[in-house]
Amino acid sequence: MSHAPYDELVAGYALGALDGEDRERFDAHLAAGCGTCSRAILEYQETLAQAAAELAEAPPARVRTALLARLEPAVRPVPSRRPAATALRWAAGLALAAGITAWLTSATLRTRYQAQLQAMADEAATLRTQLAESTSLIARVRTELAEVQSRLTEQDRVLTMVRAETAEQARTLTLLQDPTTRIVTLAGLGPSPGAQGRMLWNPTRGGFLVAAALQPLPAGKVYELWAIAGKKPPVPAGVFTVDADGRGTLGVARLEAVPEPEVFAVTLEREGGALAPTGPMVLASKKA
Amino acid sequence: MATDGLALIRRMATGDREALAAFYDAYASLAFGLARRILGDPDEAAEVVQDVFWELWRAAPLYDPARGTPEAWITVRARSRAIDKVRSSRRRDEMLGTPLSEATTSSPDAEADSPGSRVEERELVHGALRELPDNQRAVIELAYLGGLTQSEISTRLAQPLGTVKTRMRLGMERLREVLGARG
Repeated sequence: MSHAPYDELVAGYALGALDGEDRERFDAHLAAGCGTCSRAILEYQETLAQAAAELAEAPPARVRTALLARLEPAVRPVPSRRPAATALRWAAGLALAAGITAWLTSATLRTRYQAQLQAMADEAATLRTQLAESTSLIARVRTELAEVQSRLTEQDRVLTMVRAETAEQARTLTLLQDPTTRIVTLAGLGPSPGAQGRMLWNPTRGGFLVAAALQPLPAGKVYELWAIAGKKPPVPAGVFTVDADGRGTLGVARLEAVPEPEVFAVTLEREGGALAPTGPMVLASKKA
Repeated sequence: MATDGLALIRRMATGDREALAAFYDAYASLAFGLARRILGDPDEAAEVVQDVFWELWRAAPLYDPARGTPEAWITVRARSRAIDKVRSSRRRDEMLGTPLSEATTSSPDAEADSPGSRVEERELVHGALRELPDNQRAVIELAYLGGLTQSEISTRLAQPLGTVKTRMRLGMERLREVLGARG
């Protein structure tokens, strides 16, 4: 929302003249922590204080007297005891002093505690306001922090993807630059006759499989690549998934058991893969 | 010599009564002048001043210089207490019947009726405000010294609410310029 409506209301707020909806909207705006408006209000309050200074007029002297009398009585020095002329006078004096002391004490205590209670109540009210302000500030900061964190997480995710793609491309390039790398074509079988695959294979570096037009994977299933040579059982070479277009890739490390496979094949297996093929074969190369 | 209001408030916060006395001597006329202009009656203004300084004495530990000068601290409270009093004693209804500048400057004191003091008072009242266009000065006086809200001013002056808001803003900007140029 534009800030312009609030610019129009700042002066009215400083003059204590907002009412109705304007008052509510502006209070909410300030509670949301608008620094521009808070500063403008403080500035206008200074302006009004300066304007008020031109009205200055000395108050009647009794106001000062009454104000200072209202303060908590100061601690009085203990009067030094004087020798009394007679025991009677001393006793009468003592009784009178006791009476005055009792009266003074109760009045003093009352005044002091009332003042202290009032001061504490005022302070509690101020602290409550400050607490409410702090709470709203903390809530705002939390929201902003959550947004920043979610943006960072998204950026991390994108970065990871870009890194993975870059590593994949570098690996493919390395494979292609090596004259001992061969390209093996895989063709679709059974459930996905239109599927295609290309395997870049290097006996010392391993390889990289690109598959296309495979069937989307059912839940809990993956595609698994197998390397086959001679009469040995197929060696598992990794699992992969496919995107909505049936595309998938798989980097394969060098296989100690079958450095130069004669056949590559892909089967549908349970998530996590199997040690020997169990599901239907979807892609296979011709025997080299 | 400028009074160091902040130092006095700091001392007041520690319970220093002499600091309150000095603070009062420095600023009581600021509060009294404003309260009197709002209330008209000097006795009521005197009550407001006593209450305000009593409040400031107790609130001294909470004073935050970042939230305004001591002058603003005092005038915001004095104005607010005086307006409360105006409203609670329903004097506003009486004041609505007469132009505000007269209502706020008229005094029950006999001596204030002498032509010279009346003129002098007007000068004082209008000080920096006098340099504002009449329509801007009127809305600021009605709000700040009369305690009227912008809707009430709109009704009172038979002007659209939007016009009142704009005049308040322009008036306050002008007032800030005028006072800023002075010092």
